[in-house]
Amino acid sequence: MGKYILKRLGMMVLTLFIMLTLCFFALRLMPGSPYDSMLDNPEMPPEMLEAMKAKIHLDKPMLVQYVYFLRGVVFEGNWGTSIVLRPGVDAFTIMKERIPASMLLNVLSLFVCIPLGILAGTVCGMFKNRLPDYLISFMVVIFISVPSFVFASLMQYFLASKAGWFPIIYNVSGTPTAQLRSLVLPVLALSFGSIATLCRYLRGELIETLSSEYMLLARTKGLKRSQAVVRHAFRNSMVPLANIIIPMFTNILGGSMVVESIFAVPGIGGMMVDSITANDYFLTIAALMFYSVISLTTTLIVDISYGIIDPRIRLGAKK
Amino acid sequence: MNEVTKKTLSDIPADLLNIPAREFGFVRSEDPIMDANFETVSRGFFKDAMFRLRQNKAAIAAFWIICAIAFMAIFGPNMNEYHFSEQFSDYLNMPPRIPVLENFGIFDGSRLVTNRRLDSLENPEKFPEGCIIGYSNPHEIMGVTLVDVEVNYYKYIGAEEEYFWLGTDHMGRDVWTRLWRGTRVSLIIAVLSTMSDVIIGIIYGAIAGYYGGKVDMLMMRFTEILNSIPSVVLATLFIMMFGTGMWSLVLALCLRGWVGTARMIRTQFLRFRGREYVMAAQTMGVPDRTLIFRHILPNAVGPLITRTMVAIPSAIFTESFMAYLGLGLAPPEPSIGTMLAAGQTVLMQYPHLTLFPALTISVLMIAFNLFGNGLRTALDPTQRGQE
Amino acid sequence: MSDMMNRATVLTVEDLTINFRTINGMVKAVRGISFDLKRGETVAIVGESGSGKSVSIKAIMGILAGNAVVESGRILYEGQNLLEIGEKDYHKIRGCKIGLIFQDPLSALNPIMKIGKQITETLKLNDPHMSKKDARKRAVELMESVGIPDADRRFDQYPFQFSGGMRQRIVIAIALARDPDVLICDEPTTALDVTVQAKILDLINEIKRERNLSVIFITHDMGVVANMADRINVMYAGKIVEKGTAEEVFFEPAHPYTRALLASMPDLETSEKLMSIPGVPPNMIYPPKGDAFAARNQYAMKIDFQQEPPFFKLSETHYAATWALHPNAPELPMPEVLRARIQRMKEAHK
Repeated sequence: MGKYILKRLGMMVLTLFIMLTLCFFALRLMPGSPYDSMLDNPEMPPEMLEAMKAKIHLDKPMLVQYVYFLRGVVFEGNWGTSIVLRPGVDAFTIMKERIPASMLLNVLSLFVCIPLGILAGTVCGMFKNRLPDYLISFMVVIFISVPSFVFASLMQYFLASKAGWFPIIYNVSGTPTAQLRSLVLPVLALSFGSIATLCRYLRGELIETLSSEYMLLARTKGLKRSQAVVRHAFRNSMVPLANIIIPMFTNILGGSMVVESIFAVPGIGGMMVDSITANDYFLTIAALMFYSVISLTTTLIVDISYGIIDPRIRLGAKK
Repeated sequence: MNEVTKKTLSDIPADLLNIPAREFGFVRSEDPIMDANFETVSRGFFKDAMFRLRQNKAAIAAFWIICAIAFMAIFGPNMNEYHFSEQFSDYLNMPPRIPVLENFGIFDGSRLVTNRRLDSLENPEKFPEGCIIGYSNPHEIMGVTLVDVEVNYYKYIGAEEEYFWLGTDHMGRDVWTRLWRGTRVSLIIAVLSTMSDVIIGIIYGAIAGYYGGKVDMLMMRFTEILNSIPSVVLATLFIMMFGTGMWSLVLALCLRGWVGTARMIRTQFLRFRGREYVMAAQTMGVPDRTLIFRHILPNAVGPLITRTMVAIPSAIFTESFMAYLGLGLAPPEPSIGTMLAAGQTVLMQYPHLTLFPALTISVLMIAFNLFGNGLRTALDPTQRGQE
Repeated sequence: MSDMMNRATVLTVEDLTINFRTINGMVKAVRGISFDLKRGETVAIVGESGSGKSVSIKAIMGILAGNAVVESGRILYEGQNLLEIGEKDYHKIRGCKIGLIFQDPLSALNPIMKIGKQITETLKLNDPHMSKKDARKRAVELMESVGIPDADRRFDQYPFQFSGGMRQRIVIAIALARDPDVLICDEPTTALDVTVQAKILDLINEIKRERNLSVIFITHDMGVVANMADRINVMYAGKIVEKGTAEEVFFEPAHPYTRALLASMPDLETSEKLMSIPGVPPNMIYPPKGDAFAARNQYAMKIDFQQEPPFFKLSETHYAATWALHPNAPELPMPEVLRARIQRMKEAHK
């Protein structure tokens, strides 16, 4: 196991290195530059612009820039500085400021969708092909289909703007309650899809375990239906669930890029959208790398957790 | 032995005892009994799948919805006299107005204009005759009474002759025309990217699965690396490098999509390569290409169709997502995503700019998912003959 | 023989009819079967797959699938009709009075629950206050009694660490955990290796004797029945076509299907080619009129296709539903293979 994890970590570092390189050159090859908006600025003389470029080595050949950048990242933890959005501020510092809001949003969303998804999935599985199942499955199709940003827009317009139940955008400086209230809509928008995914998955798992032979054995032992369901079917369906909940975090995080910018949540997502539009190289790289690290880590955790949760793998059975 | 055959028949009813001997003649004695086919009609796999699909009402409804949207995407933009990039600089952000429907209080081109002086309502220069539908919320500020006026916006700005069915956007372009044109573009991007994803996936998976061994290992290692990068990040990088053209979007969308297809095809290959019929064909000298296309690939058709149906809505989703990130299709060409993203910035003032594309993409995604689900269940071999 | 007749009846199945709703129509799985089970005896139900034997015992256990419809019949146990009692009363019977051993021990155990837990869970149903230590002790005893070596260590293992035969022993231990009166074995050895089969059969016979259990033994394998059953019910297409004591059914088979089954049974002495039963079982959505086996019977008579045969009584205990026993019916030739085989079996029996 330990050797396996080490190997996987090595792969991860390699992938990240490739990503970093890709990011760097992709951004540099992109048409336009962060200084486009400053060129028209009469108060910015060309020589000053050159000086600015030189300070972050942008005047040198691309490969040299890359080496400088890589050296900074690897040896000094220096991810470059913002050029347009917050000129001169360290990209890493900006990230550090931005991460809490994103994390809050995503963790809250997980707190909403895990219990609701499990509840809905259990109801569906237990009442397979009966009215509650049909009703929930209908909702599940809608939730899975409609993109989170469409939900975000619709809720922002109807629930916030028209009905006035919630603030339209994120309340940065209010009391904790006000802040939480302003997070309700973005959290909901992010959760719907995951609730539906979880529900659909658990429904399938439950139906499978419920019709398994060991459920029959549990029944013929004399366990009540409810006891058999809780001790055998439910427990067994939960095992693979970890493998869907952990990647869900990455999914929600991805969805939150857009939802954050819709609700003006000061997180990584909003920042990334802005930095892409503004050609703010280093910020974009930092944001993209952030998502990559999270995604790679969750994949790794899933693969490892497979082994920890399921005794068949943990104890080295051949499947 | 013979003593056992005919014994007491005491509890047999009399009428049964009186059955005449001719009824007991042997019907057959010589001809052997062959293993007969099962009496129910046997159906081929795809016929069976179609049968099950047709039973699924939701999937069938979804299919027709997709057809209807595709129809609108083809003919919708030509249904009125406007062009998708035509700008009416006098008619910015017009509300929706549709003939006939306008008489029922919807799509009547009405809009609320706020904080107007109550006394100006009588002024035909400010409010042309007949444009006022009603007013509300009178409030006094510095001695002047202000009201919110519900007006027929078309009459209000003197464009009574115009009918922008779904209104216009911030550049005065007709939303109806753009919406269907955008749907068309989004669908084309989705279909093209799904097709390339399937083609690349088949070739890659077939090569890996057919040759196996080291080739397979190397090829799969590559997909593993690719797969570990989040798709949004990958697509973002790609579009940044190659610009926001349609083809670059198409490629960006299938950049990671094909990995799943390739893996599926590879699994199919590994499963069927060892089967006797394939080995038999191989020993008879059938060339690799024929073996792949005639003997192995047909087994993968079912899962492939399912994958395609799932990939299309996800491509539509990613396209819109990229548009929100500012990496949508370059203007003036609309797509559902760019329209949504543009509408979002003025959502509070002009909700119709967001509402219609939002509705379209939602209906489209729901229909595709329902139909895809139906196909998946229908094509799942384990579902055969089940309730 | 008379001893067997005088024993108390434990379980009676009367005129049980079960249908399944499917997409293609009603499948008539069980069509009016009746049999009883006396204390301390083993009754076998023999038939090929799809003949309705497993469905019948699922009905007894009250674990029929959701699309099953019990059309008619009664299942009497201790004076109650099991088809009528509620789920609550069923708990006092299922597992507690009637235990079940499954066909496939590989999938019958919860794969992610420790073996010991699966047994103690059952023990605690009888005595919810049983301490953990007592439960463990009792479970280990049970495991030892079904022949699991090193039971204390294996208590903490998972099913995948057990071989098929060992898993079946665990399933048996679970079935015995609550001291049932009746043990139902649903093809308990089909999924096992031949060498393991005999051991499991011996085990079942042994525990039956020790605990004075009544056993219903379901199988498609006549060879297995020979060593197990006191009485045999032969089922075909949802009906019992012949019933009698083991000797009667083996030595004086009357129904053409029973004869075909016996003739197709492999044994060491037969030098001739084994006889297989031609044709396929009938489609149970539209069960055939008359004798269901007629279509596969080389000596089918005209009436076999027209009218359902009643039970003809051959002795106090031996009945067969075939027109061949009718006084007007012609003599049915017995295949030479079978005649020779029966002769051999008789000799071996003596």
